[in-house]
Amino acid sequence: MINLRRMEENVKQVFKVSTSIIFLQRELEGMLKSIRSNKINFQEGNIPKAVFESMERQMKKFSVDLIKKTNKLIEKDLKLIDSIAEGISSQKIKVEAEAEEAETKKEKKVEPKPKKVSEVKEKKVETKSEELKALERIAEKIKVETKPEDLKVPTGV
Amino acid sequence: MTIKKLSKNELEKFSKETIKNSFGIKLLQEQLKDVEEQIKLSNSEYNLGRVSENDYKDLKAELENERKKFVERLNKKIEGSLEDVNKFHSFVESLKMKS
Repeated sequence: MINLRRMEENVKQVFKVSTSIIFLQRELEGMLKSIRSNKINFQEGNIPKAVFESMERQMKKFSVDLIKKTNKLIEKDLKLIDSIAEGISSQKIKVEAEAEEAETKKEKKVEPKPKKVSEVKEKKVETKSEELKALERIAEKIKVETKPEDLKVPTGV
Repeated sequence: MTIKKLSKNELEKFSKETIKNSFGIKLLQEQLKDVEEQIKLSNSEYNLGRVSENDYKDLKAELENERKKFVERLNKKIEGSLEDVNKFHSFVESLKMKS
């Protein structure tokens, strides 16, 4: 049976981590905007080069940190999503495999034991000897019933 | 640099759907369990000689058919839920950025 409590807990965790991702992404977006406006300010001559460069360096460093944090959270989120998927897929019932297994078991029960080669050979020999015996009996009968005179071909026709 | 964003709506949709699907799976599992209990009961009734062979065979066939249907529905539901989860997984994976 599916564990609803665990499922709910995992979904809550995903929600929590994903919400943090959303906040970080918003922060990063803001930072990128600031980097762009800093550049425009410098191009318009509103701020000196030294200030522009120092601010840009700081903001870029902060952006990289944000990206790293976001990626870490994404990894965490993916693991949680994987465990949800695992929890769901483990509930699958193998219908065909079970049926096939049952079928093979049935077949195994019904299947007669294969005869040994020696057994088959013995039987063949038996039938042969019986046939021979019968033939011998017939031949004996013919011998008794047939006189040597009967075998003579009439001549002088 | 553009950021592929995760929207709150998408996240809420995923959470709701996953919980809903889990409840759906649980419900189908309960129904399947009921049918299996009925199969067991009919077997023991037959073994005790309370049901004729013909009645037992008919009932068993009916119950087995019902069980098969529930298993199919359950597996279908699981497949659908997994598809949703995997879709969200790929989406989250695509959010990764190069620093």
